[in-house]
Amino acid sequence: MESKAGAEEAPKSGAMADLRYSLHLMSRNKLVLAGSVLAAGTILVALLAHVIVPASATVDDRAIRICWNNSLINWHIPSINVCPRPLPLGTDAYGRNLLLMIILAVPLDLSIALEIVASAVVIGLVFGSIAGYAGGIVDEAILRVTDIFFAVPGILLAIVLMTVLGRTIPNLTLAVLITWWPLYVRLIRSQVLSEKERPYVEALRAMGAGRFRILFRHVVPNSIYPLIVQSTLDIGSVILTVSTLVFLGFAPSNIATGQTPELGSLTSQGSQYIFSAPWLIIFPGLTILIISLGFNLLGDGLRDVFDPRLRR
Amino acid sequence: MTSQASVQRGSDHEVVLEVKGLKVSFHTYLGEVKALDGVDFEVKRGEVLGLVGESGCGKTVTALAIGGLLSDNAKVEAGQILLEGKDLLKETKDELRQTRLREVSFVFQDPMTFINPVLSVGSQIAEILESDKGFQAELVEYRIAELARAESKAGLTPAEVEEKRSLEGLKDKKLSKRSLRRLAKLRTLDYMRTVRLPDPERVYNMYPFELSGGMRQRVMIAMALVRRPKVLLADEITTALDVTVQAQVLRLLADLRGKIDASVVLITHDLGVVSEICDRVVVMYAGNVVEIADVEELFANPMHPYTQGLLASIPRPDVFTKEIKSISGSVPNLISPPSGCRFHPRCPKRFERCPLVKPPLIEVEPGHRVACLLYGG
Amino acid sequence: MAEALLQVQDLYKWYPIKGGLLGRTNGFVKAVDGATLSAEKGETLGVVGESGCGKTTLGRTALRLTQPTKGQILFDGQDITSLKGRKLKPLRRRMQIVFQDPYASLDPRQTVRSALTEPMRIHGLAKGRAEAERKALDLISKVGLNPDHLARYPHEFSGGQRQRIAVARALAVSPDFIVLDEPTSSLDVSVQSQILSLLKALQKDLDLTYMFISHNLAVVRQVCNRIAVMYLGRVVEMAETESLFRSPKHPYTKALLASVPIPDPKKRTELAVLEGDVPSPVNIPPGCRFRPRCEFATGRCAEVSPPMKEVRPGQRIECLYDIDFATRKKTEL
Ligand SMILES: Nc1ncnc2c1ncn2[C@@H]1O[C@H](COP(=O)(O)OP(=O)(O)OP(=O)(O)O)[C@@H](O)[C@H]1O
Ligand SMILES: Nc1ncnc2c1ncn2[C@@H]1O[C@H](COP(=O)(O)OP(=O)(O)OP(=O)(O)O)[C@@H](O)[C@H]1O
Ligand code: SF4
Ligand SMILES: [Mg+2]
Ligand SMILES: [Mg+2]
Repeated sequence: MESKAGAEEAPKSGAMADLRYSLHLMSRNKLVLAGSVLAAGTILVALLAHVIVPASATVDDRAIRICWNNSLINWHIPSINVCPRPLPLGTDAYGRNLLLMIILAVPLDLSIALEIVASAVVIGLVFGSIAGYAGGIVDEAILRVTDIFFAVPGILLAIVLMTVLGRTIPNLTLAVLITWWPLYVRLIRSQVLSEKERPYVEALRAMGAGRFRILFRHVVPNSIYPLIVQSTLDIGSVILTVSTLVFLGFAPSNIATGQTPELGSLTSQGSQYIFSAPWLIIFPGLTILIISLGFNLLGDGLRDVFDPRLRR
Repeated sequence: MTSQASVQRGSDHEVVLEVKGLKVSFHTYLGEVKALDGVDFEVKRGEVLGLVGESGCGKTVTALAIGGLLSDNAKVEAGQILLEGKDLLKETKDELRQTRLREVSFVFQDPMTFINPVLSVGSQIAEILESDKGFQAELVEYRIAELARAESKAGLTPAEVEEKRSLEGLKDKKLSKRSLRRLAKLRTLDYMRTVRLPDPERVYNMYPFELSGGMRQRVMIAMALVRRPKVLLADEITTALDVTVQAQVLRLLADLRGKIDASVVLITHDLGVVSEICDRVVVMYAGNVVEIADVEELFANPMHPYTQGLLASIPRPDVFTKEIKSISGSVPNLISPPSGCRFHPRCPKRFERCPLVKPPLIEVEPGHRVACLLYGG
Repeated sequence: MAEALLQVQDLYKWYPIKGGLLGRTNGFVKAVDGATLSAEKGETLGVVGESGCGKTTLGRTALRLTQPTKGQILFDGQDITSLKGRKLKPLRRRMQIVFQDPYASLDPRQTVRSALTEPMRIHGLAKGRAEAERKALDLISKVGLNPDHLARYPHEFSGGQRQRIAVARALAVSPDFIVLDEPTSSLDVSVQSQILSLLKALQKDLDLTYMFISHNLAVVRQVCNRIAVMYLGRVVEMAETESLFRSPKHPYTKALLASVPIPDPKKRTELAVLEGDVPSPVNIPPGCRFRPRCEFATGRCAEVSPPMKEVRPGQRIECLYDIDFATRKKTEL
């Protein structure tokens, strides 16, 4: 052969540069950076919650219920109870340290959200890829089913389900999941549809590769990035939805009453004292907001990082 | 070996545009892309200059630099771009915009990026004429000349006689909006005829998406010509076209030569296109100009090893070559370009000095310049 | 006369145009509209024509990557027109395709090693990892790359190298027939000739038959034994390469050849200009489909769709006349 192609200069092997570039893309946007920090912080808090917070923190102490002792904030409420010792966020209706209760609530909310998103991803992967790849009647059928779910407002559906099924955590998870999975089916389907038009799929077909090999070894793995972005964005929204449902009272009694701390129930409990002890609603509510904001910003950042137009 | 005609072209024609030692780099996440590393060439009045080279050698960047259209991450490190003696790189943004609008025009490979998709093509061309006061006198004069021509041929209708008289009175005054419109449209139709758009009256009102690729390219050329530029930069205008349509556009360019006063810089990677309509050729490799010569001279007597390799490796439609030659290796990456002569890793004639010294562009024969250490430097 | 490996008889591939609320079929893109050609064992058959004339569709249909609308495809004597599913698999081992854009035709998340061994796994061509690895090494050196390239990903290569990988992958199943769909169009000229030489050398070593699809007539002249010229979905002329270039017989071929700029300023002539653009394959003119652009057209051309006729041994055209282009004399065929 006339030429030594081996001598051709290939672009520099890019693993390190790629990583550097990813970090560069993440960090060039201040908001995204903030989002990453918030999301990472949330996960860290969730992992360490039961280590930081002593078991005794959940014990009621009626003597000091709903009091405030933090000189940084003055609520201008004349009849405010003053706690005997300084507490950063005061105490709740059971006389427990509100800060610790919020910390304890984070792992519960996050794990429910993760379960929902992970299940939705799996369902989406299965039905979405089948719909996208098979096309025809199968596609049509799956699409129509998702249409039905899209037509009904999600939160309403969840409320009906909870009422019918009963108020337990698994049912809560199921109720939100049922409203959530169609989104992923649609996402994967459209991703698979565009991916399967790429020439490499045709090359694989010409090679004799079967449908399932092409779909699950090639097309789906190549469709995964948007999925990562979407699921990150969704963790925040799911936490918001779950806590809204709990806020509205769709939760087992131990949670609904705030006995077992959960962000929605803490907020909902606090709403009774909105004028006499506003911190009870403000801080749990703010926590929900910050966490979902964090994941949303992180998701936006990941979208940038995975965007092929920015890549080459 | 230069023919009589090209010697004349070489000496008589004055230089319109001169690019001197132009260095441009791009800041990217992978590092500094040294896209242009001392580009020197000149464009003479009325000529068609070919700018050839393989993908990524810097042809488009050169054109963009001339038009002041480089992207934000680009930096002009050194050099001069002299348009009739004045340095475009020294002009402020506003001055440059003005200069560019009046004196340098572009036609690009993908016309859709430069045509407004929601306006009819004719109105877009006319808009250029209407928007610039500088064109008013010209529009009037053009129409008078047109009427005069008609008069000498077949006589005028009373309405036309009246029009001519009133136009003569208008010569130095401001035109009313309506008559400006009308004159601009007439002039536009004329330009559309010049670029051989079929049925100009109909095409005038068509939208870009209704046109075929070849017609869009003609609209772009018409748009570039109405400004009566001194230099027309045409970047790969036929690359996306079919051969038969490419032939139509090339034929048009060849016919326009002499009819328009613009010099054309034709950027292409197709040596067939170059040999078909260019007067002189600038060969680029990896951000450098490696050879400049008249077109006959370049094809008959290529001096730079890259040009030699390139000419040997293009398959020819007119003869069968038993063995296809090729240049080994591939175009280097411009973040860490080869030292000395950027071609040395692929050059079959390299010697010890090649990786060490950057070869200057030297005039080896009259009008024939080469940047290769084999010829000195 | 050599044996035909691939025979395509009166092949049609129409794509329906769906529109409206109910997804009614409003018409057809007649991408391939009655094409006939054959590729002989060991030869390179060129397929040329302008953009959209159906070259790619013809290649894909011949390989049964899409279902033909009508017509017949014979491969090595076997009728493969309506083979389905499992029955196609042995065929897939014998026929391969290389695409224009090598980067898009490789799975970006697959290493070269995996891309080369996957076809072996699919067809059970290697017993165990060791043999697959040995074969992969053999392939990579055949296409002029290094063993250490096996562990890399497509984005780490230059365009020419990627096309080498795509060729190696096509060779992994030891096919007899390869469709090369514009294999060098996305490459630089100096690299294009490397790939062309590689393809030529491989053909000799491995006894391959190629269908070489291209719009670049210069390239086709250098690598093909015979050439089929397509216009709007049909093969309008088919001849040995040299006869075609020296004395084209179809007015379209003639115009096409005259439009190609020659890289030699001494041969500068007026480029012959064929007026107008290629008509849309949705509304194909009746009679001879080239008539609206043909300078030799007569009234009959608008009525009769010319059948394929032999004008000279080995040279067939779809034109009603045998035209002497120098004297413009027409002889009815
Ligand atoms: N905006 C940019 N940012 C970074 N690098 C750039 C940019 N524009 C061009 N380059 C680099 O500059 C070099 C020259 O590019 P240029 O577009 O001028 O090539 P070209 O000769 O026009 O090639 P082609 O024939 O492919 O159009 C290339 O290496 C390219 O990657
Ligand atoms: N899957 C498809 N669905 C609908 N129309 C198609 C499809 N594939 C091709 N076509 C149409 O069929 C015609 C022929 O296309 P094809 O890709 O075969 O042309 P080609 O000769 O390969 O052109 P090119 O030189 O541009 O690659 C075109 O008009 C194209 O738009
Ligand atoms: S300078 Fe050296 S390496 Fe460069 S082209 Fe000339 S001989 Fe080749
Ligand atoms: Mg360019
Ligand atoms: Mg094609």
